[in-house]
Amino acid sequence: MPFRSPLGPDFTRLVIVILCIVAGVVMAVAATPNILLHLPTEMSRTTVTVHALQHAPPRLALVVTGDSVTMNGVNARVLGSELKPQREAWNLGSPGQQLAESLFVADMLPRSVRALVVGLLPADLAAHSTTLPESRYLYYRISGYRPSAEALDVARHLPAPALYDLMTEPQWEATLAGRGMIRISGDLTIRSYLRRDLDLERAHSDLYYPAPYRQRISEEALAHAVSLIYAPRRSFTPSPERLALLLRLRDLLARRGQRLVIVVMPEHPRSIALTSPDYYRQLAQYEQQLRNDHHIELLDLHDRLGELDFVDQMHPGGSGSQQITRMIGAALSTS
Amino acid sequence: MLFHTFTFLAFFTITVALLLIARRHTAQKNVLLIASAIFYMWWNPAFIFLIVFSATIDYVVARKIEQTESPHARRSLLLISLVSNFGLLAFFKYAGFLERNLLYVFRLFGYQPNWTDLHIILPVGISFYTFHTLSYTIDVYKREMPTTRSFRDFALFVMFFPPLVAGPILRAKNFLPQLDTPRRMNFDRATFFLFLRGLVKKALVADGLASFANPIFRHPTLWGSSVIWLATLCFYVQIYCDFSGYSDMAIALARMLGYELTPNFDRPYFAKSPPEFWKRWHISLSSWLRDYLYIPLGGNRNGTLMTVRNLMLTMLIGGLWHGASWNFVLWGGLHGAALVVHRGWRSVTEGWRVRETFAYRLVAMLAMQYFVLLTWIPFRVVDTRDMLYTLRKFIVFDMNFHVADTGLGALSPFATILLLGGFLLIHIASELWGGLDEHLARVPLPVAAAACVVIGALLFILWPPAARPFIYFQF
Repeated sequence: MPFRSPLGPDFTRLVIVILCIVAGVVMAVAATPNILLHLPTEMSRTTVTVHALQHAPPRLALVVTGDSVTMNGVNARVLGSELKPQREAWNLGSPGQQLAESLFVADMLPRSVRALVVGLLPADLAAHSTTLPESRYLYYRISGYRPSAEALDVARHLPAPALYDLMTEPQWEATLAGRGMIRISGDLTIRSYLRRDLDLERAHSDLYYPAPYRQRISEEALAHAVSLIYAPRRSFTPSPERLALLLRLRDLLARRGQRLVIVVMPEHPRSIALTSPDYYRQLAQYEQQLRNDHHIELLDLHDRLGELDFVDQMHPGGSGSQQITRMIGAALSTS
Repeated sequence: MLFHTFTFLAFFTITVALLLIARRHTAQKNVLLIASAIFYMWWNPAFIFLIVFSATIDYVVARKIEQTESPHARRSLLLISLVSNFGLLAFFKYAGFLERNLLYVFRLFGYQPNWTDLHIILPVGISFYTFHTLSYTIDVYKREMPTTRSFRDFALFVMFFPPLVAGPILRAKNFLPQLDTPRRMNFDRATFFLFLRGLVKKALVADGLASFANPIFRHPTLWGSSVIWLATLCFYVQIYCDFSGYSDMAIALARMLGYELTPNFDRPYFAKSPPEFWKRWHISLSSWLRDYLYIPLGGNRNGTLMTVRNLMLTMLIGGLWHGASWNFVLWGGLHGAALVVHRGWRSVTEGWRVRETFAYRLVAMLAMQYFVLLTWIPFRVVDTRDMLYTLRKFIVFDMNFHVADTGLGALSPFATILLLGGFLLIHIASELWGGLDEHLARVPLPVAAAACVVIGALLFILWPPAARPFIYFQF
């Protein structure tokens, strides 16, 4: 007499179907890191920068990190030519780059590098998080970055354990979080066809001036973007978590004979107009404290550009980047 | 405990295992009742007393109604059930609404009352199980069904966990007889694919589109017509997939346990008229309102004016059932008005041959769906100023196609359009050739297995980072 399952006559076939779904999930988990390496996503630049750092030329003397404001704002080719003697400088900024990513870059810097310039906005000194999304860290891992004991030590001694936990979690766990990037890649692929105003290819692979935002947006679009992203700011409260990360980053670099230079990048005049003067007064006090008490080299450019030096609500254009690059170059040569 | 979480998977597996161990029908019903209570208490254990209270009232009242011959006494008993059920619903769901409106009226007259906000927590599923229990008492009152002797069976009917928190709304005369005979669990492919269909609709489509629509509707006044249209389309598909996805999963889970629930959706976005839409959308609620409200009010039997009144009342109450807010009343009122206008239009166009043509039906469907899209705006956008702005941008297109560089990048607009388009294509194909799940249940096993590998991979890639609760949980 044939076996009759109490769960119904079709149960065996159902088990096969469920196992196939599980197999599909497992195959997707296994394939995701490889898929991510080959699909265009916001993080694809990471694979380029990690590879570049692992094969850096001995003339490399200066590296700049930061988000898209820094990508658009610093021309590292010009910066390198202004170094004495003339050396190689790279801008390794990437869209949405977090401060913690400067730690990974610092960890990979070859000995020839003399300084790491980190571009930040004032708000970055007040943000509390010292970690980054799992999907972003996944790209460092799949690109071949493995944190050194020193970098792990930096993360371990931060006030919050999140970054250390992230750097020590198993890869499959990071893959689970990274899967969303596949969907984003679909978006980016279509965007790259539709948005001819963006130089996405340059943003992906250029190590010197990876500025994606080249075309000035209309007044209407600017007004809309300002209303969308800027809210009035009344007071600046520095973040002790960020300070701890900056100090440990400074010490890590110092042990290797390298300098850490923080550049507070320019803000759009319309954002400054929305901000209370108290905010900038408190920011200036904090910067003074960073320089005097914590011996961090810091260059504040937050109000150095005019409206015409920006191409949109936050990204410096050609004239803006020339000024920023010149000011950073001057500061590096005098200090 | 959401159906698309590992917690629920563990809960359901344990329940099935216990049902297998229990073997005897009575013991299996006990297991199901305990499982249902645990499922409900997962949200807030205290509210179990509320649902037990509601079930006890209706169990006792219905027995008394059955035993009583005097029409007056039967009516009084029915009134006790209605007052206690609607009283609880009114207190938990509408007291805050009443308070806000009273405050508004007082302020209009310059009086600033100083009372403490009640901060009432809405018990999950109260709108659904209240309608479960009332259907029983009213049917017993109408002598359409006998009472059940077993309080356990009645409690299981009220608390049966698959449809407990977001429907389909159970009818006692359909469900209670199923408890009289031993049930055979049914883990077949068709049922599983029905569950999978619901899962894909909810987790992949609804939640995927919500990640675009939610931020837009949070500040709609920042956007022009093209973005408003896209967000409205997203919500149009999101709410359908969210709610019908839950219903599909609930029906499939009940079927796995051996119980049949009534369908709740029949591709309503192909409806060509307001009455057809309500025969296809949230069928268990619209048929409940028809049978227990519209028809008792007189239906269409007492002339045009009374029919209009009954239609409007039914739809306004149907709107209010969704939530204690004027925007839901407006939503119900718009649909009521559409039903009234449609009645007039139907009588005028009676006998027109053009009504039978494909072109007419296509235009009718597009017009109906434009109206449905429009009415989702007051449903979704609560703030009056935002709602009026959104409606204006939706109706009067501002020809602003400026989408690309307006800060939408983080919301993945193009992936959203792909997801929206993909869903609509599959939906149209389902209407023409039958559901994908039905095909998968029929094809040879190797083909279904290969498709499942692809589905598994898609589930992994597109699964949202965090499980969002179902929209209808709040009702």
